[in-house]
Amino acid sequence: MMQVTLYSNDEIKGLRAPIIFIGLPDVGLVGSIAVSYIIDKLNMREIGYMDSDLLPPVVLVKDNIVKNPIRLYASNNNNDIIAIISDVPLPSSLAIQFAKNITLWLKGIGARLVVNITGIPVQNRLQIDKPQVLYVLTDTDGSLLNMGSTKAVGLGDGIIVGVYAAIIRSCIVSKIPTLTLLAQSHLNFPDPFASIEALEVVNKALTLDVDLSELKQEAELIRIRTRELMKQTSSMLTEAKATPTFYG
Amino acid sequence: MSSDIFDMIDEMDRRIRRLMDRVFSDVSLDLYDMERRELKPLTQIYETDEEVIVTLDLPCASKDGIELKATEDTLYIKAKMDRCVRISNIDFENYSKSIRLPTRVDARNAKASFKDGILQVRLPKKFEGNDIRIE
Repeated sequence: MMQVTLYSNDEIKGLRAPIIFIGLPDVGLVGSIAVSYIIDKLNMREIGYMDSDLLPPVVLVKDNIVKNPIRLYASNNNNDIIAIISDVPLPSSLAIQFAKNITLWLKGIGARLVVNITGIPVQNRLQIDKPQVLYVLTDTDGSLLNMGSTKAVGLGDGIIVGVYAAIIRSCIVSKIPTLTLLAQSHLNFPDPFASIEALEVVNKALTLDVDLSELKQEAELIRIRTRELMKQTSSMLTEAKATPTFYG
Repeated sequence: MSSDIFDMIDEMDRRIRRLMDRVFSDVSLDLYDMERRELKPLTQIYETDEEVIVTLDLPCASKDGIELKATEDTLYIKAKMDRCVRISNIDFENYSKSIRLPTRVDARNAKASFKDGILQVRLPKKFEGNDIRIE
């Protein structure tokens, strides 16, 4: 078996030049929380999954249905959108192969833009009421997006490590434009408020209309329900020494 | 020969344990006390030259519902949640944790703050010892 294999159903054929949201467990679970919320609010359908021998032997059961931990969802209500989430932190040994396979697949379906959502840890996060969102663009002059209407600022100088870095590099090779959003966040605590800020940017930059009120109301419960994933992710980041440098 | 077999079994046992540890770590043990129906908060411990800083994630808790105690080497926290949260068919209403500190502290001069469901406790390190005169 290849290190990572992707399986999808025929619904994928109906999508035209989709935008891809990727939310994987890392700093503050910012991407996981944000992309899971998009899936829920846009009523996206599950269209496939990714598997690998390198993933821990875990399956999830939701409403009596067994689910793979890395899943793909799609929506073609307004915009053609695909979302990729994982319920387990990805081992660093899987990052490059994961990125290469997903990019190959995205190229094949004519992906228009990949939106990576993640966190950037800040030491004084407790003192910050509204986390700042930073962004990085590749292979696009921004004409696909309306970044000017958002409060996000360019990363300037910095370093991105881990699976998102692998995805960005792989997309550059495949000439797929990427937007990476990095919201200031807690390092080891789930940070739905950072996810909210990242989604505010998504809404404006891509003229989506994801209603964020439920995420704001449920933030405390989300923090409790994502504790296990946060703990596993923190352990994985420490083990892989892939914790991004503190920003600010 | 028989000792070889036992060695092999031991090695296999160690490998299985390592695998199980890697897969499940001790996440559940670290986060729940199922018997007492209490959540153990996510915790981050950070040290400066002068202080030990313990930060605890306490969503759904309020400042008035938190009890904090410290000795020179342990911090105890108990907090009541403002609602009952059901996880794996068990209702949780409280947080509780006893945290072994990485060094001895002056508990009397500890300070704590609580914001957005996050508790931060700063405990000054206890400096003990004798001055050494440089000759």
